[in-house]
Amino acid sequence: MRYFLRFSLLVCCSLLVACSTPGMLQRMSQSFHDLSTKVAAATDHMPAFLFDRPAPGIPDPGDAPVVRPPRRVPFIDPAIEEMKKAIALAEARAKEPPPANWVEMFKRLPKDDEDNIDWMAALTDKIITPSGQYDPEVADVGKTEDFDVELSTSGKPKRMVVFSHESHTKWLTCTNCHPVIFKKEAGTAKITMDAIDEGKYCGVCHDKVAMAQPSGCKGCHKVKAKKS
Amino acid sequence: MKLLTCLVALGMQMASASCALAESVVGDITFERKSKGADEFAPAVFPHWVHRVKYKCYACHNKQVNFAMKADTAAITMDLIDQGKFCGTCHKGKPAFGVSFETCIKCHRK
Repeated sequence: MRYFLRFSLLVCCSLLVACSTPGMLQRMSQSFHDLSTKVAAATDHMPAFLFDRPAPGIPDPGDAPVVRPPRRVPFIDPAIEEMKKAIALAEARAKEPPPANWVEMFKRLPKDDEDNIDWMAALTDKIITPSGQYDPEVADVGKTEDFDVELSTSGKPKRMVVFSHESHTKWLTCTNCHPVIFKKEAGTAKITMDAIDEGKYCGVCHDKVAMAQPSGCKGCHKVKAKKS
Repeated sequence: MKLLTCLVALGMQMASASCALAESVVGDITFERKSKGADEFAPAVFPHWVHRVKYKCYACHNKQVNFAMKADTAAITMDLIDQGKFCGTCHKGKPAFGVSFETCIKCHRK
């Protein structure tokens, strides 16, 4: 704006000068000088907005762009905002991987002779690869052990059970069973079938979430198969 | 058009979410509703087998998540789940679905 005013003033003056006689020019320059000194004196007392210059006491901003607040507060419709949020949510959901098809998964899992899921087979066949940590960034705390324990409460060798730590620690870690269900010293638990049926010792998990294979007695009492 | 596709995607997801197994599997735990009774709202069913596919026993049966090895020993409430305890350890959107009105029927079903 200021440049434009200066430019137009320059054009007017040059036109005046070009179209005037030398005597007139002299008088005009005299009167212009008088006028300019008068205007300079007058503007100090006149309202600043009449001229494109800052009020006295305020620094001249120069040609920097003038930042003005918006003339009216922009209207935000809460309904539209809510709709936008809902759309964003739906779009985010659409990008997510499809949910696991559990019916299909159930069909894929191997079944045992009683049509329950054979978890050990699923694990050894690598149909499932369960993790010991729900948080993938935390290290797995599970410990494994592979020694067998011969359990014989009654003392009869035919009823003996060989407990395999190896197959159990594929799922569990030490603290799941020790020391609450079983004390760590071997032979301290008096495991009977009645106690198991009541849900003690092995019965905490077995026949509830875990099925020994093959089903029935032979799942655990399989000493016959052992030759020694 | 964009909105329509979004809604269709949402609908498809909800349809696939509700296709849980009809029959019960060994290990499924139906939680007893002690606070309000089962008549008002279906009790939550915990499908052990779904969780065993992805996690070993000690992922949940440990001191942090605090599920004991015996059923019905954990007093689980929706408030506790919202606070990130018990089921809320995983069921908060990531790694598993979160608690919302769309997902009620995933657990509370008959």
